Amino acid sequence: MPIVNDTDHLINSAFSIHFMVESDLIIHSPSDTLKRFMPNIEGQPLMTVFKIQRPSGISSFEDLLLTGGKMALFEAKDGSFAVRGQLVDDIEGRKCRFVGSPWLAWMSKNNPQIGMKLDDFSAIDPQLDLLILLSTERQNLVDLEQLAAELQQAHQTSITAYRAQADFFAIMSHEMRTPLNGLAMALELIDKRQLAGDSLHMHDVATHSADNLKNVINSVLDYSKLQSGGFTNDPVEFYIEETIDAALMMIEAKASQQQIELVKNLDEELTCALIGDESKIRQVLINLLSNAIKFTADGSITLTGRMSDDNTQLLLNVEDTGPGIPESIKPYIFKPFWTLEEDQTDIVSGTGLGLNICYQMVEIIGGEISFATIVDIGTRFDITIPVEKSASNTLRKHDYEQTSNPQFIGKVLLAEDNKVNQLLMMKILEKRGLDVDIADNGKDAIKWIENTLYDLVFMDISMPVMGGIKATRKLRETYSRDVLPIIALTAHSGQDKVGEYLACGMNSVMSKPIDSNTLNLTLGQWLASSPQTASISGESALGSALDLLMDEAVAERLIADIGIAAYQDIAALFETECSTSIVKITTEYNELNFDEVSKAAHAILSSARSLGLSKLGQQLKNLELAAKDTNTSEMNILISTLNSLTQESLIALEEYAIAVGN
Amino acid sequence: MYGLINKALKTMIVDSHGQDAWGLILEKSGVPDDSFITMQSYDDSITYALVGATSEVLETPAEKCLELFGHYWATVTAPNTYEMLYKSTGDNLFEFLDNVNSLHDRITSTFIDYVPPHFMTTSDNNRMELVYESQREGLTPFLIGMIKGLAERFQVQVDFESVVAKTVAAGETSVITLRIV
Repeated sequence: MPIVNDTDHLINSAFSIHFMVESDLIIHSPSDTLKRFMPNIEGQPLMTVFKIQRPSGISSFEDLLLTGGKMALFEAKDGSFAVRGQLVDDIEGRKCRFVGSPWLAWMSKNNPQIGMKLDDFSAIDPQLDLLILLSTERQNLVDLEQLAAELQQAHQTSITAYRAQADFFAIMSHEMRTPLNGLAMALELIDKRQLAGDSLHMHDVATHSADNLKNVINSVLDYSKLQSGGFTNDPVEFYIEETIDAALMMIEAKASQQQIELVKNLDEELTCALIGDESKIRQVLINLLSNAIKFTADGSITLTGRMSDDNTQLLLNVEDTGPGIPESIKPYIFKPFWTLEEDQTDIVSGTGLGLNICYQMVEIIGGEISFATIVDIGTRFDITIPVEKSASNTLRKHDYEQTSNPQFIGKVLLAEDNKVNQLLMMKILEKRGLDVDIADNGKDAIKWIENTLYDLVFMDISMPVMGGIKATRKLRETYSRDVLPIIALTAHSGQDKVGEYLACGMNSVMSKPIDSNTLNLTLGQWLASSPQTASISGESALGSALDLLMDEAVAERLIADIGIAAYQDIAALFETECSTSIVKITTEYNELNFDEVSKAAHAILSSARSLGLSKLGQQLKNLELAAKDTNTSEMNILISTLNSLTQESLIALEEYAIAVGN
Repeated sequence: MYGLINKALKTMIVDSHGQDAWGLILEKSGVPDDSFITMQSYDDSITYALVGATSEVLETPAEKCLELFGHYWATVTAPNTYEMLYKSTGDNLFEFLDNVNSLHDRITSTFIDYVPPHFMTTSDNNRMELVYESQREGLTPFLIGMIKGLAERFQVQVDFESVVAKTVAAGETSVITLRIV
């Protein structure tokens, strides 16, 4: 463009793209840069050469004048070039001038190969700067994405390594525990009466060291399981008093040995059923109580429980009269592998995992744990755990009152594999006037039913060959619920299980040991009543007797139900079955077959409870749950006392059976 | 220098010698981590430490390492990141070198605190004398590598007739005479 005056010079310096448009809309005087990209633009009509993107609605020269100062975006109609800038009119309004630059964003999208130069943009034009900025930001984004991917990878690697470490701990602990159990058993079998002096002392040291080592290994196993995410919140319906009793039972012997008083202080409100993760609450209480007794030389340990004012939280605390926690280690009390190093003796040694395990378990179930301590006075651990009060509000099994023993008419099939339970249930049913057949498993039950007309079937869940669920499903293919009522017999009382049993076709569910009132109600629902109704003992109200070796009230009720002779028969059968089962439990435990431990404990616990062996029944129940949870530390404690408790229980049972016969 | 430079050095080593070699270089350099962000400004000492460690690990003189890095920058990093801008700087080697100052002007307005070198060129037919002035020391080999990379881009061969370092109070000034053959 020929520079004819100062204005032209100024515009040419400031804008790489410019041209004039006269009132006939013809383009004149295009800049050199524009001519380089659109050589034939001189003398062409604006509307023929450009598609006007902005301003919109331009159709005449007057329109152009009116849009002066607004952004103008023109695309060449052949798609080769585009310009951005603004329109300015001259003073007399006879000409209009476009000033601006190449439209870089349009070019980079539609014609990136065009080959523009840095000089095609004036120094004041920021488009190239923005291009640099955008390119850099794009690169920044790539950097950050790459960084995030690297961090994710590193995170995954660390988790994998962490789990591998936890697995290693778990495997090694298992490997160590088997020979250690052998060692502990061998030590127990040594007759201490034959030892004296140094030998006796060395035996005590060896026994004590083996016990310590077992505790260490069990803690490491629990810790490994926590680290590998092996625990989840698993709420069930439970009674906190039973949980607390079970936990206290774990330290009872040691407390007695150390002459430490155990105090249980429960609010009356806690007699109702709660819904929460009972297993973890129990484990946490056991850990806290074990910790308390480890550090308390004399005085007492108090376990207190109550509900929060809004009835949404279970508040528990374990308070001891031990030495308290020094200020210096307070911040580390819930950290793993921290132990009280000062004055540490063999008596208080440990892994430093117990409180960390408590902390993690409480966290998993959505609760909180804290502590308050005064040196030389004692320590109190406070736990707050979210629970619900059970809507069913069912009475505790051992709190009911039996009022009658009605007679019924009908033929009943009992599918049950356990001989003691078979005999027990048969006697109970026969005492109610019923004709009873027995099948050893689900497959046999189906055969019986195919050949005999039954009014009612009691179906155990866990049986060999074919379990109760599978058998019921098969029977329901032929017999409806109305034609053949099937009642599940189970020691699993969780709501999830009940739902599963009903879904497979069972009419209702009865818990073992059998509650007479519930049985009478069930029989009354499905069978016709007989006019001959025998009375049974009214002295059946049972106390809270979970800690009784021989709960005579339970036994008396059963005797009133089935008679002394039947009771003696069942007791004798139970003694044999129980001894066999305890050997099996110990063997399976030593071989780490925890499922089998759980099954074996489950198989005899309801019989034990039915006969009145409440403490043994409770211990077997605890063992069943601990084995299911692979809770090795609790299992270890339970197994260590199971043999002696069984022997004491069987002696008590035998003595009672003889006594009632006289 | 901006993270872009350090990232480019890392990419070049990883591409040519593998991740392990880079890990060794990073360890030897004493630079704590290599998560460089393009737009972030890092102390020059980091780049110098990385180049020094590269020389040690690859058992190659630092000047040669810088030249290789300059070549990689011209042929890989810059085209990949700023291709359009790169293209607009010139259609041939001499035009590109003539316009480098304009390119740096643009970059300076975006990369705040960026201190680019200054180029003065005089050319005659196939010969160019390039005076390179930088506030940083020791980077002339990087420029040589870049020019070699640009020559490849524009499909010409260059012969460096002389590279003369001028004595200056601070930084570095070199007079490079090159010829397209």
